[in-house]
Amino acid sequence: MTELTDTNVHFHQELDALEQTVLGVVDRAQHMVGLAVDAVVESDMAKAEEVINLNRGIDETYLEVHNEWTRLMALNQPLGPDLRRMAVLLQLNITFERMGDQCENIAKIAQFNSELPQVERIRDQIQEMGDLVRPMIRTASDAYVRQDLDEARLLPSMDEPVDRLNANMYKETVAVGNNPRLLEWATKMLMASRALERIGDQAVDFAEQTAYLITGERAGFNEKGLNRQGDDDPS
Amino acid sequence: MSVEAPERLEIQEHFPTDAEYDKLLGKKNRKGLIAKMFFMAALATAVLALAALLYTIVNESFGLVAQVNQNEPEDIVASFGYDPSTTALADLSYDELVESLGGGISTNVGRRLEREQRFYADKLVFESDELWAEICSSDEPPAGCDSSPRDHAGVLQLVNERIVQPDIIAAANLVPSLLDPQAFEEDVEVTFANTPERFPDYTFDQVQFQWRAWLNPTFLVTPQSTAPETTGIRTAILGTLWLVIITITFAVPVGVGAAIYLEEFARPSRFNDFVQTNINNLAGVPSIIYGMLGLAIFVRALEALTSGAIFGIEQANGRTVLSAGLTMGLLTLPVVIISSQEALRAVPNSLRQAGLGVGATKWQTVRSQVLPVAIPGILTGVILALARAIGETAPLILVGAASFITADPTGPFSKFTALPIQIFQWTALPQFEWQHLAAAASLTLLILLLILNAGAVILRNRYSRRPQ
Amino acid sequence: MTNETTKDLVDVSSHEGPVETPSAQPPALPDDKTAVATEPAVERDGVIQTQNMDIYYGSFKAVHDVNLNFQFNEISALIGPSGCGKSTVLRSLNRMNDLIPTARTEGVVTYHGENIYAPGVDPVAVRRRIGMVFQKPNPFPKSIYQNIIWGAKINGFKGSKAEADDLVENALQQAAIWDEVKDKLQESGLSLSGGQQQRLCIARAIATQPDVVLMDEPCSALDPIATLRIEELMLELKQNYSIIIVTHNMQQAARVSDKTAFFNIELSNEGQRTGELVEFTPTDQLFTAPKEKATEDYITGRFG
Repeated sequence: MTELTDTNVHFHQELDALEQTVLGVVDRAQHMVGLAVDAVVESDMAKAEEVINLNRGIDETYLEVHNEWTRLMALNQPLGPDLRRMAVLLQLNITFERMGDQCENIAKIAQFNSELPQVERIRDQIQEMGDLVRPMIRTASDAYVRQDLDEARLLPSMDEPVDRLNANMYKETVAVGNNPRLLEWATKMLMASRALERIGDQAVDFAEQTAYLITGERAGFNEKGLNRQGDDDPS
Repeated sequence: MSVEAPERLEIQEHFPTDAEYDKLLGKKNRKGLIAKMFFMAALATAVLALAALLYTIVNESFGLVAQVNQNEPEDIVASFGYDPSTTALADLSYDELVESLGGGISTNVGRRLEREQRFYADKLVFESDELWAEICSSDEPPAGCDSSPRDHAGVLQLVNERIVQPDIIAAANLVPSLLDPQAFEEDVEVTFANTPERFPDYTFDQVQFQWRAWLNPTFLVTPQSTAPETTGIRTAILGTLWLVIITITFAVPVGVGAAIYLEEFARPSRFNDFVQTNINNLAGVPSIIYGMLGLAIFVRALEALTSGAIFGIEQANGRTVLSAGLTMGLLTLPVVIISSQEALRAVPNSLRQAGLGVGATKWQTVRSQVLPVAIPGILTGVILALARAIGETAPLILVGAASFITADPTGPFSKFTALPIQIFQWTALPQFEWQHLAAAASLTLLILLLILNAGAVILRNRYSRRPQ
Repeated sequence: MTNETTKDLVDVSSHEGPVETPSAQPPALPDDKTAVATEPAVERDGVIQTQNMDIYYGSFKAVHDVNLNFQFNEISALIGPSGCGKSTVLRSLNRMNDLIPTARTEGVVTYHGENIYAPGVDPVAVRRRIGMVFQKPNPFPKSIYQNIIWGAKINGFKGSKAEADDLVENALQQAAIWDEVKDKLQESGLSLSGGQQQRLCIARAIATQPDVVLMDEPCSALDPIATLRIEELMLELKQNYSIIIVTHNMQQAARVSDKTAFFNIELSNEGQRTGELVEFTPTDQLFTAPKEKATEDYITGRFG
């Protein structure tokens, strides 16, 4: 085959730009996860404030991306890989916006919890979850940029310890005992843990979208036997 | 981007500035104007040439004549007791005309006329019954023995020719006649005075000056004669019509058929290319060659057919209107084929695909869809062929159109003459009257051409406008 | 519709296996999706099948080794860059290519299992059963009524005047143009608008009772609204006919077709450009996740 000429170069440039904007959001979200966990663990109000401000920016970008997406779709009616990329970008835009929201939730918990007594073990566990989730986002993002299916497939296994820690959080909360103020703090921590676990799930989602983009097949990673749970865990 | 801008400027330098461009524009427009003027001049030349042709013909076809009658028609009418001011010679009855003819010619001349064609079916005027029976039972009976009797027009012509004996001694063209009729009369008078030996039989007092339309109804319906005053072109017109009918009947089916085959059925092959090239070349072959071809094939080789011998018609040779028509058909065939091919080619291919797409055969598609659309174009070709068949002279001379014939053509196996032949013959004669007659015949030919073409054009327009 | 067409079609298809309902999914593909559908043993026999079809113009090979299987009551689209031979392939399906003197088709094209290129098969009979609609609307320059009835008559329609009227009405109704022309059947077909003319051409094609209609870029000369009407009509006609359409408009292929075949140009060492079938897959799959890289490049506008 001879060299290909891109007869659709304008659209492809705009699509690349849109992709960059969306991927910019996930970079910010990754950074925000670190800040939010720090805010909770260190009761750092400044960082909590920063997270909330950053999320405002993400919300704005979310709307911008949505408008740009609609415009591109209306004007270009893409097909094939372009169509998949458009579909994936729309989904990712929502996913990343939610990641930002989860970070804001954690930051708000930090603001309310600053005066309460704390349990070190639980705090460490939150820290550990934060340290697990951030590389997940990093890996999913790398997999997308490199269009690396193998890397994307790593995500479910990375999510497993996060899920386990989250499940463990219930036990830890129960173990806190009868001190109402401590219990209140622990319950808030349970919510933060859940938020982190959701962010982990969203990172897995991200990887699933990447896999779809590469293969053209919609297949949830949980089918591969790598359990991904949390949202509907009743306990 | 930063690289492109200076480059563009550099290219700009090769273009004229605004002022220069305005100048250039003026120059361009002037050139266009000159070309336009040239084309208009070309058109004007063509129009002028046509106008000059028409002028010459019309100018010679009408005008003042100086005429001397041996016997005045009024006197003949009066001799039968009619009032000459209300009754013309033509109003006399057949019997009266025959009587006046009998009174003015010798019996010998009368006999000759009767042997050419008798006057009455049941009685003889000049011949005795016994002699008539004798000559008619001879080996070579004259035409009068079994032809039908003369008609009113024929006898009237004889009376004019033999009794009235009009003699036109001078004629003027239309324009001088209109501008200065007096000058013509004076000219004739001077001629009489200076050279009386030229007119030994007449005095100037006998000369009548009158308007004469050389092209007049009598001229059209009168058969040919040796006297210019009484001759006509009926035989020539009928000959031309027969010729055209035979030509069209032969050339159109054959030509259109060949065109359909070449355009719709023939697959490209070296042979078909060869045929196509030859047809294109044939259109440019001089007509005299076709005349030789016609002479060799139709007159000589196919004499049995063209003389009608195989149909039991006795005819001396193949120099018939059929031979001429077939020759003319050959001559016009390339024109008909090429123009029909053009017409078929102009039918959009989508129409053929549509026909074939619903499961029609090629012929069904051609007949029902392609041909109806092509007919106007084909008729254009027929018009061209028609014009050529009417006007062509050379091949007719070769295949033997008679230069002098008085009998109307009655069928494809008749001897004939045609208008162009007539004109050609007359222009070759020295007496001045024949020039005017040739002009009148030319005008007739033009009008006939116009009528036939108009017919074809009307037919074409009906086809192209019909919604079907 | 209780007309002849429907009965006829049921007859034809009943011995070929169950007729699919229009809404039915395209037939399942074999698990191995790497190759173009080449194994009739696995796939259901379609109404038209091509096996190893090569088409030549003189010594020039225009299309190479095409294997297609067009199903009953489905719309199949042929897409690809200009010169890829998709129109050539379409025209070879009812032997319209025979009209080009140098064209030659090798391989097998079956219609209801019978090779239409077998010796002794008259292309005229083939075209009656496999109708065609062309790029530019090309009604005959005759009345609307004549446009419809002519095809039937030349194919031996023997019905009375009333039956002929029924046939005309039925064809025009199937082509969704009856209401627009019922009061002017004697007017020229050329007096209609472009979109109406094209629907008239569709009516003309189905009046000869075919069960396959080939359409060669039927909307390329029409405005968008007329185009949508034709597309709507195609989806309607799918219930009674198999439709194969060549189109340059990928959105059109995506909107109307059940399966899409993508053809590409293969450049040989001598610089000859030969058309090749790249893939023939269900349309939704082809336009979201094509199996072949060449398809992907083409539908995203990369061409070389």
